[in-house]
Amino acid sequence: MGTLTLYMQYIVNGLTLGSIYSLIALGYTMVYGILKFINFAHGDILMVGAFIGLLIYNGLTGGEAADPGAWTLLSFFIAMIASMAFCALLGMVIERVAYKPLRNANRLAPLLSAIGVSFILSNGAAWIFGTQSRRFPYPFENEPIHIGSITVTPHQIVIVVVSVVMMFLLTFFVNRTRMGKAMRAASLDQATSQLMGINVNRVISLTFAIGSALAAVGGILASFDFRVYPSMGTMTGLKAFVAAVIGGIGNIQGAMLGGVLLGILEAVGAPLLHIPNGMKDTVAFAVLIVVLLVKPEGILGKNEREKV
Amino acid sequence: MSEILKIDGISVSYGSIRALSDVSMSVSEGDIVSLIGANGAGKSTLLNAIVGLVPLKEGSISFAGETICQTKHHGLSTDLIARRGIALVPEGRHVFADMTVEENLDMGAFMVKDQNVIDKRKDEMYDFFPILGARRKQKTRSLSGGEQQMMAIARALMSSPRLLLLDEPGLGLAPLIVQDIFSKIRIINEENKVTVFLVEQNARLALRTSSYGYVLENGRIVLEDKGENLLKNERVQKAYLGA
Repeated sequence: MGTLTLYMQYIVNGLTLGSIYSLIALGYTMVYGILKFINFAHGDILMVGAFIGLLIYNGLTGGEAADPGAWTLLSFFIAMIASMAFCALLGMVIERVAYKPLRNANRLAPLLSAIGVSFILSNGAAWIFGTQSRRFPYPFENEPIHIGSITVTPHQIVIVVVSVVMMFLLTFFVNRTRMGKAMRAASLDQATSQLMGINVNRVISLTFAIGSALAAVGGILASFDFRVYPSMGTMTGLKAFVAAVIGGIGNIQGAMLGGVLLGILEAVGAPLLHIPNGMKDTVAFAVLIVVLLVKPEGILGKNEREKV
Repeated sequence: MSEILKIDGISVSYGSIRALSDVSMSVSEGDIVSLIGANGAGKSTLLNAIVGLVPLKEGSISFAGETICQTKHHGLSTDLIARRGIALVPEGRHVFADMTVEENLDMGAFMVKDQNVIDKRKDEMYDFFPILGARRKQKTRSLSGGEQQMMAIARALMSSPRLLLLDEPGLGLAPLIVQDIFSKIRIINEENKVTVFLVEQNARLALRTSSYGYVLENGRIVLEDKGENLLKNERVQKAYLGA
């Protein structure tokens, strides 16, 4: 294989990984946009989403023994939607119980609370499901498809297609619907949006619900590659956070762009710089440092200035 | 005329600093009432107290005969007060800068459920403020200060409020634009039957526009009278009209 096609292959792989980062980064960025707070438990929501999705999928199909077909594919989407609903509810409950009472407290307090929630979720999952990792069975035949000299697997296609659909739905929601616009208004100016009759508490709940549902999708899609285990959310969550910062935290398009960009940089950067497999996570954090030094507000982030 | 807004002995503190002390006032339905005072007299605090953005330490505020604000934790939240029919155009406009003019107006109509009503009101606003119609698809941040002020007023009118509160509508704008904005305020009051309560540093213009006025000094109401009488009042002339 020539070098060029090799790197084309890396880009395809990076795109797949990156779209998962994007989905998860959206949750960080939306919550930050409205509360100026980093929800460090967000990564663990994706782990819960993956477990719930796996349980429902196995319940419906009988797990590994099932032959991939129409029923397994349908079950996969049922499991995904159910897991989204569960995580949406979980996200709202966490906000209500662990963050809302601290909204007027010192800025460090909700951050510490989020770290606490993160530990509760990951340890709770270890307690309930055990610490061994589980495989998410492929719900469809995963016979690689060759396009020229590039190989694409059906699960990569599913990851990208599902991510694009989710991001499209979110974009439609925030730009076209009444509640979506209210969400943008609240993230621009909370007090003024209240003057318009917008219940900001409800908007915040909704933000957590949507972010968590997207994390559930990200978690399920990630489990094709990374298996399902209680601490799976830590590194993926952290990298999605890096993606959100790269794109410009608080900016929805920025999160989408940052995720894809980070995925590609990771997939291309590691082989390009001969970084051994065990250390390839360093690429993401090196990129973060560079972005923070060169453009701290992120690619699409803006330095807000008000006209007087 | 019936009383639409009644402020009864309110006090507001920021920590140990007292911003308002025992302020009482009343606004009759259909009037334009103004509150004048120097920088830091507590004018904005008073408006923010009416819409529930700052908590009261003492006293109460009622709107259309129902109590909306009481001492801490007993008042309505700001969004519910807005739903009763009070719209505030805040000091410094507070437009949603990253949203288009049209989206800002949509937000002003957040409580209106009927899309036909919203579209009709938007058209009315574009007629009333033609510059907004021309800039409807532009991000609000690209508008000039005067255009932003008009947009903030239009946004407040989208909910068809009974009471319009204006916080320094002329702040930082060229005199001609200020004149224009005040003439619009008069039209809003006369033709749309919206009661207006405005706070302004430009005392002459504010009192000329108003039927009744209050003077706020160091958090206390020190004078109140018909607008025309206040314009002739020696104390007002000396302190606020530069005579």
